[in-house]
Amino acid sequence: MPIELREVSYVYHKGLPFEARALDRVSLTLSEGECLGIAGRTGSGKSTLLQHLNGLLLPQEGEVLVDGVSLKGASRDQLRSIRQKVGLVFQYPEQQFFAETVFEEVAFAPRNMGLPEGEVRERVLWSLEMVGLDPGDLLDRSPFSLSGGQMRRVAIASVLSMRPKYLVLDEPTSGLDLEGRGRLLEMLLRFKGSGMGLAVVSHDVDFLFEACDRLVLMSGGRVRALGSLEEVVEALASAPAEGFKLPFSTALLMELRGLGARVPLELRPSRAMEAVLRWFEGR
Amino acid sequence: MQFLNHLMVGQYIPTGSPVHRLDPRAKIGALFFSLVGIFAVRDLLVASIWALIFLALLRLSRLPFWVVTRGIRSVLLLVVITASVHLFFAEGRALLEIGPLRITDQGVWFALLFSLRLTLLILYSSLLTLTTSPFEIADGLERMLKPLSRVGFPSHEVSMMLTIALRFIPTLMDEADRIVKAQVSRGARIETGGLMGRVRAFVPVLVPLFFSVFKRAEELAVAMESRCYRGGEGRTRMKEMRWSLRDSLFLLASLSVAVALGLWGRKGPLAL
Amino acid sequence: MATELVCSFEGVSFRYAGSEEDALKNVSFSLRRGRWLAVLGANGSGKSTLAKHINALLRPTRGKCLVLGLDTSCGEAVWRIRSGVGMVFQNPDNQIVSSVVEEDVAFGPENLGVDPGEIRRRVDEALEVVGLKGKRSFPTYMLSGGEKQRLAIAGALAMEPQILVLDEPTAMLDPEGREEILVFLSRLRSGRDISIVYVTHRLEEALFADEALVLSRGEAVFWGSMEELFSADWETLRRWGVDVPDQVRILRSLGLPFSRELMDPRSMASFLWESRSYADRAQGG
Repeated sequence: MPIELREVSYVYHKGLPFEARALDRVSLTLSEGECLGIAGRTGSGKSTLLQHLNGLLLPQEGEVLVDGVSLKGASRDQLRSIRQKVGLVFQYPEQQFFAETVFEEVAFAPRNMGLPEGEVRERVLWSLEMVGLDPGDLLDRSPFSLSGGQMRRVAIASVLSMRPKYLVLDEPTSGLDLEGRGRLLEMLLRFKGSGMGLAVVSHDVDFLFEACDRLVLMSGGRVRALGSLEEVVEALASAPAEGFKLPFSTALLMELRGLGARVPLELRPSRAMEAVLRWFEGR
Repeated sequence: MQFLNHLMVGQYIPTGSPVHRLDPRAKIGALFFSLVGIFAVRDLLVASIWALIFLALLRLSRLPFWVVTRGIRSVLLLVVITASVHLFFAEGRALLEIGPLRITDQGVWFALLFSLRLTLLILYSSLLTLTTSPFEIADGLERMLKPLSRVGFPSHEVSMMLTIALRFIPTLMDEADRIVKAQVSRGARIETGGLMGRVRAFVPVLVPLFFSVFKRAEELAVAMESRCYRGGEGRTRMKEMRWSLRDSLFLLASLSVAVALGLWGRKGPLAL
Repeated sequence: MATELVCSFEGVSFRYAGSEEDALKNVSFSLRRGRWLAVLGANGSGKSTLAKHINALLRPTRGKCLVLGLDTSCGEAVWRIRSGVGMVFQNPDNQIVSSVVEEDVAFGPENLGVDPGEIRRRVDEALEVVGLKGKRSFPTYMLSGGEKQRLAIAGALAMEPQILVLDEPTAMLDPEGREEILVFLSRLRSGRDISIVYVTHRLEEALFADEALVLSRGEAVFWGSMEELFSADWETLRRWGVDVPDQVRILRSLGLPFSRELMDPRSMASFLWESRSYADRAQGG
């Protein structure tokens, strides 16, 4: 069952002179097996939205349903079980490391779930493999002794070990160079392939367009556009959203089509670029 | 003035008032005298006078009134606890009895007095932090302690530590909040469990925080060295502290008021 | 008419204590007054290590590093070098010392023992240049990421340096913050003869530079003008870990010369459309 947000509103510091409306009647769904991208400037409500997906914040108005269970009025146990189903990877997740070994770090989450040690161990090995690391070398090492790229992956594995149905990632490309982003993309496609529902919040529109199937554009706490890549691009053509720019290659291809060029409609930047090159070279 | 939105209690609010422009040393000194004077308060009339003086200073500092309510709200719990202790455990003629607890006339009196004193102490202290930037406070303290450096006391270093610590408090609070959220998202139980459980639960919050603090300290040290920081030797200050007549008058006034109210209170009409 | 050298690296190698490999391997290059050098490369290529040599935070294990005519390995010269080289780091928060904006900018000149009146003047000017004059009394923790970095830059500028080194200043910023920094830097450049060293792994941030130095695993694999860098094929650039923006990649793949005017989709689309139509017509006859 998908995660559903229905007309969710949230205001910080409610009642005080400096209250701030972070979410304004937001509705969206996230289904298993898909990747939803969440775009918007800083202050558009993205991080508030994220925290509603795993119950860190409860909606003041509207409803959030995870697997059919409404967050409002959920007991502490229910909330805990929701957090096992919806894994949240924060920005710079390696900042949450505290354990002596990689094993302990990744085992933290399944242990909190009360699973037997045998199962915990299985999950640790599985998560490390899912993020593309070889458990053999790393299990006994201190997480702080790893390279930047390895730390990032261990941090993701430490959330993955809950075997969540959904994985939500906040600015996962932060601090990653070209190679790092490529590996992240591979990883996310792998997760999606295994049936997980993914939500990615990012400033990097190129990455979102490459990795996601559907997009949400947030601005001022409201949803400005929501739909498949195609639907969003079309919506933006008639009503450009402030502060949101399409990836260069995608925009280039759309401009060329507008001029009459016979280029197939490709929205993922890598494919759009290939299509433009092929067209130019007359192939 | 939009940054007012996120103020903590007693955070610096620059309004450019005459009080703001006083030398921090004068303000620190005046606070010291006031605190001593407030400690000596023993009757309601004197307490009210202190309160009126506070309101006058507040006005003079052009500070909004809600800093008072916020200030009181933050220590409400402490005040209530203190008041309750006095209310239920004092001696004197009993007014009301609820089981083993007795509310006496003295109890009511003490509760009122101590609550007022505590509140006044907090409010006066916050006056200092509201009208004086942390830098200025640290600077003022450093200069006041400077004579001690001749006997080996590291006054500059202490002042620098204070400045940096104050600057990082909000940053670290935000970070602690983020870490707690990240760990809760991994199933950590922060709020429940017995004492030992809760202490253990803090490891996943304290360890990352410590690491972060060490990393920050290292990076900050590098940044400071890059800006030619070499300790207190030879440093000048953009904001010069020029002690003026106004500062002397202010300090003298606060001393006189504290002494006068202290003495009068003991012999005054409503004294105990 | 050659302008003077403000910085030169001669066969500089550096190894961190306890490490088994050199972080910098025999790197040589030089920088002239008023020029902007971009230092590019993947994470771990040695870019930050190189940057820290310029203000003598690190000294070469082998080779020589001369900054403003002074040898960085010479103990006494260190503070003179540091007063002439302003440095801005990646993490906006971990450079800010004070709780108030203008007081933080004053930190550098205060350390140099500058006169209070002169400090005030420098602080005012620096705040004006970075566009934070209106927020001079703000609490520093209330600033956005981009504003914090501009504050760090102001703090460096207040020391009136001859070289400004920025080590991945936009790495931790959002696109708006990044934009702020780049716009400001291009404004700073015009009308001053300050030399700038800009470290990044994103080529699109380096577009304003005159020259480029590319590091790969500690070695200098390229040193030349920006134009020359763009004429390298993008496969090579990618191998070096340089993040080439799509705009440049498209032009290069089509064998077209790089042009700053074509960096937005509409202009490039018209350009490609025209070129293709022309080619079609030329062929079709």
